[in-house]
Amino acid sequence: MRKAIVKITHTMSDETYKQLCDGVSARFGTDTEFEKVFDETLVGGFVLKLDGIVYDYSVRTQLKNIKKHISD
Amino acid sequence: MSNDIYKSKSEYLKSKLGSYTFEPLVYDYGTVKSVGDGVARVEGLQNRLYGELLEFKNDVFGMALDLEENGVGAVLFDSADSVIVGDSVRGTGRVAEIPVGNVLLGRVIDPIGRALDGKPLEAKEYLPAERPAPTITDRRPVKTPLETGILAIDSMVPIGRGQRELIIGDRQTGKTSIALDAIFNQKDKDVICVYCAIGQKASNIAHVIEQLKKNGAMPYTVVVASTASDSPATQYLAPYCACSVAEGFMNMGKDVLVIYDDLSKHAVAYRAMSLLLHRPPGREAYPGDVFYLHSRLLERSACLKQELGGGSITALPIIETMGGNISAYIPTNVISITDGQIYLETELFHSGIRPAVNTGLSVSRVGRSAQHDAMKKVSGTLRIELSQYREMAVFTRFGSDVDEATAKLLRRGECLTELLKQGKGEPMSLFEQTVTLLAYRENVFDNIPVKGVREKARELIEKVRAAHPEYEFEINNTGKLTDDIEEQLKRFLGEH
Repeated sequence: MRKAIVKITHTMSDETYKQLCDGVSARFGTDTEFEKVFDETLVGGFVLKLDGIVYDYSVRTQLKNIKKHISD
Repeated sequence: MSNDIYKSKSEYLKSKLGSYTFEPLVYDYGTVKSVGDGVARVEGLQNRLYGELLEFKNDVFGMALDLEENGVGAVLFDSADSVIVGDSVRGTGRVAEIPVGNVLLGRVIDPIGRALDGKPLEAKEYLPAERPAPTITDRRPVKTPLETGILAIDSMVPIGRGQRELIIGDRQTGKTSIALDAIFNQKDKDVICVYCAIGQKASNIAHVIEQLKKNGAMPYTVVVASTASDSPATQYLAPYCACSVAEGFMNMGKDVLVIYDDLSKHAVAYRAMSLLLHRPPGREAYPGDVFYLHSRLLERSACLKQELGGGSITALPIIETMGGNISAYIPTNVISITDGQIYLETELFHSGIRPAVNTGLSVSRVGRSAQHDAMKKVSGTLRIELSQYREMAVFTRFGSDVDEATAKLLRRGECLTELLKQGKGEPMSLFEQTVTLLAYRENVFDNIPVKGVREKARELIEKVRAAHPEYEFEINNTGKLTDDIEEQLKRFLGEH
């Protein structure tokens, strides 16, 4: 059983979370166990940690990228 | 008016946001399993590069040095206090880099590339700290002299552009002074200088910078400094970064002089780092690759061929010995890597012979091919004369009766020793050196008390300068002493 940590904010509905887990299982294998962690600093979106790789789809990181993009 | 500014700014923002594309951030991560003594063991983080920068929490950076199956061992550059077990660590995908280019001139930076002089540093170009040395075909023979302005060195241990010449000696023998004098003498000679302080006291570094400023050397000098309180990783990285800074200038076709002050402390920092990483200790507890540590650094000094810009890096590494023991591990290593050494002796230093160069043990393997013609002409037999004098001085120490030939030899030896004394920050030009040695060769000082020899030499230089300014111009600019000028100078010196 592989373990995946999913960081989300409270704004994410249970239904969306389930869709997210299903999507991850479909892509990386059904033997994945999910652990939900709430992190409000993400602002929105999610961060998935699986097999030593971070998939950062958070609003926080996008805002950071936008800041860099504008100032460059 | 304000509306216009508002409009243009909003237009700018719109265009910027319009060109922004959403991209998720995907990266490897690891978890800190243990941390202590500036070393962190990280689990995870597969496929890392050797020497890759790792990003810990709170903007703390480390360098991956031990790559293992399940994780990496990393040394931390900054305070390890803020790193705790369980923290996430991110690979950056790039190795340690340092800014390069003209923006660095006159600046003081640390090996991470941060300015230490309180002014902002706007660097555009970067080079990795570790780079391969120029290949054999990229190089040309070392033939152009690099004048240090120190008579004892320029006449007997000449240094060429692209050479590696070790400065070795005990503590307080004037090693750094020689290096600094060499920097001061590069003023208006189109040579860029890089001074790299490794594990030195911050007060010493401040003193060096002050001297550089006082002598007007800062505009063509870059200081790369790591103090004794910096982490071993930072100290380890310092000379490689200084070399990359120098390579930045060399690639522009410039001649560069790099001082590594000093490599003994560098080896000690590397030993500390290696022991903390649990690498097997060897002789004197240094790790097995301590030779390669310095050989790969000094091999990067080169004299590039004209097609590649013709630039050069001359390295003056410094090694501090303990109790005059040059056969210790690190000194012998660096002696065998470099193209010669300038050996400084405590006894000479305390007997007032400064610079305290032991001419018997000092050599330059590039030798005469890196000397101006004028210097070659006047310095021919100096080494032999001096060694004969030293040998004879030991024998005659106990007896007072010596024959006339020996007395003359002793007298000339004393005179030469006196002439080779030189104050700190008083570099001599080629013209001054040539006149001094020519006068010595022509026995001008034979009837003058030894104490007054230097004064007389100075006087002669001033007289020649006043009477024949064209000689100074000719010798300094062409590096040649034509037969014609030599004859006239001899006559002039004989008359005065």
